[in-house]
Amino acid sequence: MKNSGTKNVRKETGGLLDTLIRIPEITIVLFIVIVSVFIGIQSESFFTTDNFVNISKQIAVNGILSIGMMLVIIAKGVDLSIGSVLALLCAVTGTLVEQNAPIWVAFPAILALGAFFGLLNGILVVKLKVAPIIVTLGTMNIYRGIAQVYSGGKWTSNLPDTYIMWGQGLMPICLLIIVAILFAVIMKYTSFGRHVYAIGSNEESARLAGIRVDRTKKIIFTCSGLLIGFATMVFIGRTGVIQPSAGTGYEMDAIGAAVLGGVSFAGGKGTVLGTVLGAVLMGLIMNGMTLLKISANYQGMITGLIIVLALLLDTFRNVYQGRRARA
Amino acid sequence: MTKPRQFWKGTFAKYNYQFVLLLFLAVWFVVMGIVNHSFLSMNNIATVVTRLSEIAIIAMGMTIVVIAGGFDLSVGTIMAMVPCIVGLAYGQGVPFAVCLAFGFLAAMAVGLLNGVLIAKAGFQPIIGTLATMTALRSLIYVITKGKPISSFPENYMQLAHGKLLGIPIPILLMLAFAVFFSWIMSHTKFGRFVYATGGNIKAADIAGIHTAGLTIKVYVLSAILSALAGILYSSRLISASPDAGANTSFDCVTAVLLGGTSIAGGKGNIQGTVLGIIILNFIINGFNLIGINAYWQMIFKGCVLLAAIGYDSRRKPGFKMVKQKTA
Amino acid sequence: MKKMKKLLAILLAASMVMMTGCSGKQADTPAPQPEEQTGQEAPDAKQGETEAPEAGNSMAGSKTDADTIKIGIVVKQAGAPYFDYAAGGAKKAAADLNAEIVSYTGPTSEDVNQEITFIEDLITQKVDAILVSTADSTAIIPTINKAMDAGIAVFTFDIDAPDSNRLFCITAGNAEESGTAIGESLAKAVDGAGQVALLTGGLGSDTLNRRLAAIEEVLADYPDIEIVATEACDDDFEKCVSQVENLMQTYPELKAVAGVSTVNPPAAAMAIKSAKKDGQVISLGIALPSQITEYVDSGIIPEAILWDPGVMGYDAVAAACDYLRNGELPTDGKDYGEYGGKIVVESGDSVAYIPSIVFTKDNVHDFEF
Repeated sequence: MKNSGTKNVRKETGGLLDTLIRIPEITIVLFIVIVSVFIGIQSESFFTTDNFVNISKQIAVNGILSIGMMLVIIAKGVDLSIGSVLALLCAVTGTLVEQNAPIWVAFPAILALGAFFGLLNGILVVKLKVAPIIVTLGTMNIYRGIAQVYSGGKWTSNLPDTYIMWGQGLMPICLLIIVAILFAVIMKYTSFGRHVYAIGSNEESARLAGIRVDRTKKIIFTCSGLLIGFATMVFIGRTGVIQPSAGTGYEMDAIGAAVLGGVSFAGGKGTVLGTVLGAVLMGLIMNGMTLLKISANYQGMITGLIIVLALLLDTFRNVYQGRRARA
Repeated sequence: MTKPRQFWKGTFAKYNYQFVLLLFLAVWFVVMGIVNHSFLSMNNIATVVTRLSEIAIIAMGMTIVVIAGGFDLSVGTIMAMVPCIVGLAYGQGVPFAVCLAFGFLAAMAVGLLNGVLIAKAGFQPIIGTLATMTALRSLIYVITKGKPISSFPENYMQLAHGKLLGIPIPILLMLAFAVFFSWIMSHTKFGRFVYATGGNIKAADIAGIHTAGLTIKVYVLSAILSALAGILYSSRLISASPDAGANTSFDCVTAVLLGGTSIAGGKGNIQGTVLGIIILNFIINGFNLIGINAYWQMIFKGCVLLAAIGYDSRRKPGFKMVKQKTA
Repeated sequence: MKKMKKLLAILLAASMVMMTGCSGKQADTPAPQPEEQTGQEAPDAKQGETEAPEAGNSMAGSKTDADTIKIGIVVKQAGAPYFDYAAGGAKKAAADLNAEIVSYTGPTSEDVNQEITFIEDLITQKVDAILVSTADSTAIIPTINKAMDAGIAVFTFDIDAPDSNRLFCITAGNAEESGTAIGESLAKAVDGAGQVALLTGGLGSDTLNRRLAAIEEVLADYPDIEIVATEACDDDFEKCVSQVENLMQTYPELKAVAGVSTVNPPAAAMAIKSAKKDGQVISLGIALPSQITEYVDSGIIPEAILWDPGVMGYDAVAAACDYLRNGELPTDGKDYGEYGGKIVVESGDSVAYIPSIVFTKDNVHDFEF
């Protein structure tokens, strides 16, 4: 597992523990290993190819959405509207299917439209000079309302196979990996990526350093919207129907994945790898609930507990690291 | 760009934001009163104000949390949990006063947990309370087995349906709390410390404020108010539903932000929140009376939020330093 | 600062004056509502079952054919296709019977508190009749009684609130009956033996929990059928797909999954189809035919159960109009015309049944909903 932290770490001459603890994603990796081993011991169906394919399909939508969420959170914002945008894109896809639009028209159209709704969020954030959480709380209502009013709540079934294929077999995980690599590279090697971190760390100094903050923010939200477009196609492929009421509560899942992966609301901190691993952990929890035959009533308690434990572990890592740094 | 700017500054900036909200409410009353004759009947106004008093009480707690720089997603779940506990215990033959004590203690425990996770373990408020929210909802399902609870004392309903001096008790309670908490926030050390902590937690720490303790207190307070709202809620319905309060936290935050409280913390007040709740509820009421469905209402609510907050932030540059709410 | 407060005070005072002024102008300033309408009347709630409603409700037969009857509809979840079809039926009836659907509304997600808000606002609007499909049969009682006391004819449809003062319920069967039907269909489909799993929407939904309990009761008579799990998807289609994938992984011998929310059967069928387990696992339960045609055709869903929500909406409006114009509550065998069909009322009961429909390969394409 190659990752961004290792290079800096080599310079230090600490023990193995010190080396490991400096890797930001180490806690989430550790937690994934613990959870997997735990489920694996209890259930023999866990370590099977079929199950891994299942998990890969189940994490794809949340994984793609949480990368967008990560971008926004790194820049010290949050996007509450993603579930609603997903619903609206589903509604539009419904129209496209009814018009017999071929997939090579529909897919780019949905991406473009997603990017457009994201851009609208970005423009509002910049022009109104209001915290993204407020803007997206507003657009969350607006987009969902429009989705329902536009579609009349009607579901579309019997989708063509060209639409379904994006959610079948290994396609979802491939899309997730492509998107993840793309954004990992963007975040690490482009000036845009560096600007996002800079804005999150300190917006005023970023501005003083000559970064075009407003433009960058618009691009961030556009990217988030574009990713919702990808997620929508996977979502539709997985469900096989078009449902304009889809995506309720997805913003919280994406925030959960990002935060578990080490993205901080204080801004300026977080990686694509961590975020995807966060989504993997959430997928594992859900998969494990059924595999371990845990009653539905108790599932929420266990999810809550695991989130708390994972974050506590991260807190300990920070405290430990802080102590070592001071020592 | 300059002309509208001057317009903003010149015409509106000299008015206080909450004054503009009140103006909006007045205009809404006039317009709705003309469109629908039942809107301005005392009966309608009393009905709406009675039912908004529960959420207003929760929102007051949320206001204080947000001013202190936090966020509480668990309020709706606490509101659902407390009456379930009270009802279940009463069904077992426990004296009612003891049941109430159980309920409030449970709520305080959750508030304490929220506070400790956030203040001591360094969790992001949104994710810490998300975890408790998820776990708590599942706890409710476990204890109630998903069934509504309706074992309450004979005269329990008097609390929400009764009147004192011709005014419904929930309204009186809400007014009393509003006056009490605005006094707390503006005239006590606790209030000043909350503003200071939310404004700049490091500075507050240096100034000798025990910010961790304060944060915990604030979350416990929010939980207690949610518990109280839960009691009112179950008294109004003579039933405790395990699904109650699913949207409460977002409704409250919308009102808090609409009322002019800053999501960044350190700025805001109780009156604004109450005004925000009143506006949102009369918007819904007005639309219901003229038969506009819930999804159009969502769109309109989102637009009102964006317009109001956008106006508030645009007004600021020309209106700096005039009012210093933070002391 | 002080100036500002003064301004606030003046404005507030002004708006108050305006309010009272306007309400004063109204000819019929609402008479003070009878206080404490709710609790005291709860004990005689069963009176609603007798033909003649209690004294004081003069609404029976208060309208003539020339009067347009104003009806408000409140459902568990606005925007859900099921209720949209029901509202479609109601609008059709309104057009046929000189009524007006002044409002078809409901919460955006199941929430009894919001339903109460909508009903209260319909009371304020002084509609003639309210049709409710409630999310919580207990919590809604005080509000239904309040509406009845205000002289509004309240009918429940789809999901009943039997302990309230409501006049009548028009449904295809309460939660227990539809649950029993699913249970029996499930037992038949697996030949009385094997592993099955149950799927539901929200864990706190009263209706769905009662349906689940009814299925479990039916299956208790089949010792060879094992219910391996009950999963809840919060009515999230994709989550339901994932859960069924995980169920098939955990229980390789699984023979069938049965869903009590309309989301479940198509989502389960999709999971079965994409795991290429058609033929091994089947899906059934409550579903809208338009959402399951392809799975019924391919045999993944051998049969599903529902009723025509449009007919339910139609009959509910027809019953309300009939009551307000002629003072008659539904009786057994009452015919609501070509679209509405005949209803069944058991003697002494205040529930009218419309027929349930079993969807199979032979008829699944014949329905519009």
